[in-house]
Amino acid sequence: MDSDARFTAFVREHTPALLRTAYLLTRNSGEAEELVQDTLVWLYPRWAQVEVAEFQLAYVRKAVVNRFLAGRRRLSATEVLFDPERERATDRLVARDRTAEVDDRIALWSRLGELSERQRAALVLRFFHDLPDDEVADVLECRVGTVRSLISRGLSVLRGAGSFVDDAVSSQYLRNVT
Amino acid sequence: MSPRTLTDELRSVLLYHALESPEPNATVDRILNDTVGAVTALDAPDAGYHRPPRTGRRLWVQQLVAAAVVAVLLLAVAGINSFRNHRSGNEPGALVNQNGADQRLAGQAPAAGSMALPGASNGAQGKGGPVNPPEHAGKELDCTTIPGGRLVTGQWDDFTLPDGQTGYVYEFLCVGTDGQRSASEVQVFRKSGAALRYDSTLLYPAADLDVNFLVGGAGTVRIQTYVNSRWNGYSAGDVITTNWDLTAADPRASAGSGIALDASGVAQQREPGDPGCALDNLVVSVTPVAGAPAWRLALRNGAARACGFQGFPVVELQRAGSTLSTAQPTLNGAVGGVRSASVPPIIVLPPGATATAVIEQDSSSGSCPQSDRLLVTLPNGVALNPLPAQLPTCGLVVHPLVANTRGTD
Repeated sequence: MDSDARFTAFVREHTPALLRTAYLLTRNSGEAEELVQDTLVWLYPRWAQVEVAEFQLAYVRKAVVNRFLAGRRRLSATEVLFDPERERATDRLVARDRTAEVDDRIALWSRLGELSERQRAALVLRFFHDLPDDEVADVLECRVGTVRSLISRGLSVLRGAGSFVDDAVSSQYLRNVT
Repeated sequence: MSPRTLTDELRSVLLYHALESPEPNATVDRILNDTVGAVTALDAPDAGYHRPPRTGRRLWVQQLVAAAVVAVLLLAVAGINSFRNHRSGNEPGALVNQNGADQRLAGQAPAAGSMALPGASNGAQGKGGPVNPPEHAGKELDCTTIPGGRLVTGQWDDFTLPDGQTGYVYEFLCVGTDGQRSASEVQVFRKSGAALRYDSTLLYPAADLDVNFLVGGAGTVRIQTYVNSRWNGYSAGDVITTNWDLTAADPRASAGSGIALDASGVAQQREPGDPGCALDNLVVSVTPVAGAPAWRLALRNGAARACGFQGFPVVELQRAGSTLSTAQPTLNGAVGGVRSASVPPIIVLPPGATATAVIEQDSSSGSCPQSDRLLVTLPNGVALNPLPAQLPTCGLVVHPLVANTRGTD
């Protein structure tokens, strides 16, 4: 199988997964599609480099995250995203019944959008992809301590989105900021 | 209620919203066209969750030709994927359902009439999971009741048992060529060597539930379902989240005749008897779309808790008390509808949120009498009060309800 065929196979197999990551990073379908497309088109002439990587998907995912963090996907200063979910969550800070849990989830998703790109990327890699801190550090090209700081500060912001009990994982990180 | 931890909720929210990621076929097409100049077979009519053609029949014919061209390529691709190390591909399995066709593509396009089973070519492989198709998969489903119905793998995830054994929970469903889908069947399999051994069935199709998402954990699986028709004290449109204890000898033992409703269910769980998306809780409006022969039917959830829909509203156009025509259900049209999937989405409406279906005229038929009111029946069987509205009574189509005010996804 030649390089084109291998590239084609990779694109077909892994684009859905890369789109999920991109969507969680960008929170916007169009931007997620553009981010994944741009990354893979950029990697195509460099595919030989990808193929020598031990884990190709991890290599490409890192490229997606880095491209996202490079700021190319940021909205321009003149664009304002209207987030109806957040509006609703803000409007419903009233007596909490069981719908409060639904509200918490909506608020949590909204708060994720308030984080910095690096904080959000760290949380997505850690809690969606279940990557350990050192692998998150490798993707973000920073020290492990920086990753823990990004995650702890991100969790600290998210904690305000609802009434959650402590758990071992979040406590481990949140100790860093309290 | 079980205590909710921040990290658990964060994982759950990420999983849930990842399901909203764009359908991949168009992106794959663009990438390959910009690089190797290939075409994709994911749009092939027989590829399961295919994207419906947006622009009429011409694309359908092109897809048939394209499918034949790439079949040889796919067979070649299948080989290398079987040997690929997927350590870096550990995507959460609960996200597979939206892309069932994509996962199969990694292996091979299913032959006509064959079953798309969780196996070497599926997402399970990415987690070091099952390598052989399990027997009994979807055995309770009868796909012949749906036009062009085919058995496909929906969502799945793995779970671990106290003895270290790994198990898998799968959703199976039938998908038809016209976008219809069946209820879900959810089954548990245990890993036995390199194969999967059938263990039990958690949800039967007879319950008429659609799986929204499922997430495995340590000896448990959490399944959120959408209720299609009145069942076990629940109303059509309800959304139920249930935690299952898979360490029990029979996970269904506590369920009696139906699903086990654990009090630790979260989010959209509600108790039987509570009103869901009922008539009294919905604020309904019909407004014209500027510049197009189209209208938006909007439903706002005025209740204090979430409720859900899935599917097409039935829209009858009446004049002087007589029904002149009924809008034809289609997935999408020029103005709106569902373009990112081949089945109507499951909608969970939080309090205050709005779902919208677009009604549009897809062909001009000369002079056409106008309606004076609409009779609308929602997918959950709720008949709305008659709506005064003047619409043409010919050539109208209606698209599925989607969870926004635009009526298009």
